[in-house]
Amino acid sequence: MENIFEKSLERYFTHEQLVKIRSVKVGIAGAGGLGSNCAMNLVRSGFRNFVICDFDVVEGSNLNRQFYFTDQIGEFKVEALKQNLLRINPSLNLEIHRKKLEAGDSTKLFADCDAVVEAFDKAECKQMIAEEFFDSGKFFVAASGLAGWGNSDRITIRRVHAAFHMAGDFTSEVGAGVPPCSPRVNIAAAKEADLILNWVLSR
Amino acid sequence: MKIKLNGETVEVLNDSTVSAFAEQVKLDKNKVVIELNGQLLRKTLWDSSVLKDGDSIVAVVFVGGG
Repeated sequence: MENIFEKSLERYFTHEQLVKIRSVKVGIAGAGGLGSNCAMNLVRSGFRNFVICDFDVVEGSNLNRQFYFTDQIGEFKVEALKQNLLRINPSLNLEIHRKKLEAGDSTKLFADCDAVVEAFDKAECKQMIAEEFFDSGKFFVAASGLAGWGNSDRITIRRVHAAFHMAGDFTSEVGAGVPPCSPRVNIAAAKEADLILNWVLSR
Repeated sequence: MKIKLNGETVEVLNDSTVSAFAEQVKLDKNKVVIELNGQLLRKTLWDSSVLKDGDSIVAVVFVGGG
């Protein structure tokens, strides 16, 4: 039986649109500021099927921007994220992996995903997965340049090719005096989610 | 010779490899994905790929944070 959340989505989407959204499986590489918030946005948009991978645990310093709560400190992020996403929609099909992705892992882990979200922290990890999914045929979204505050209209979408888009201002790197803050991180994460929603509904 | 980098013309030495070119324009191999003439060029191939006049490179640069 449809739960109240899924029933309520019928107010916003046609049956045909919901069928499209629910047929897609999304892989999310990283469950930090980008991944946890992108997942939340996708779940609220009706997506049901996910493969989410992260090795880390929730720390107090994550709570300034990531979709976790104080009582989840010390829990593995993928476990905590699963709980939080199921609170929005209890009927999700969530496959979670508690591991650090090394070169070559993600193509296997996300083999049956239609779309993949790059949601890593380190530039080197972003590069690794972008190379792996550059010409994979899957719809791939990445983010680069979201640190600090202000000038949030500079966080834009760059279309690399039809199946590879990036969100960010492409320059603002996290560093001394330029912390990752909730508004800009969330804007980039929401843009990643919106790219996938738009891709699915345009098909 | 001249090549295009993200649409801008750049002068490079004849027979430069992609690695040498990346060094010239300060692109960090571990933070960039490159498309050469419309095809992905994995970083493991940068050393052995020699540029020719009129080549076009699209560089996707990543910075940290997420």
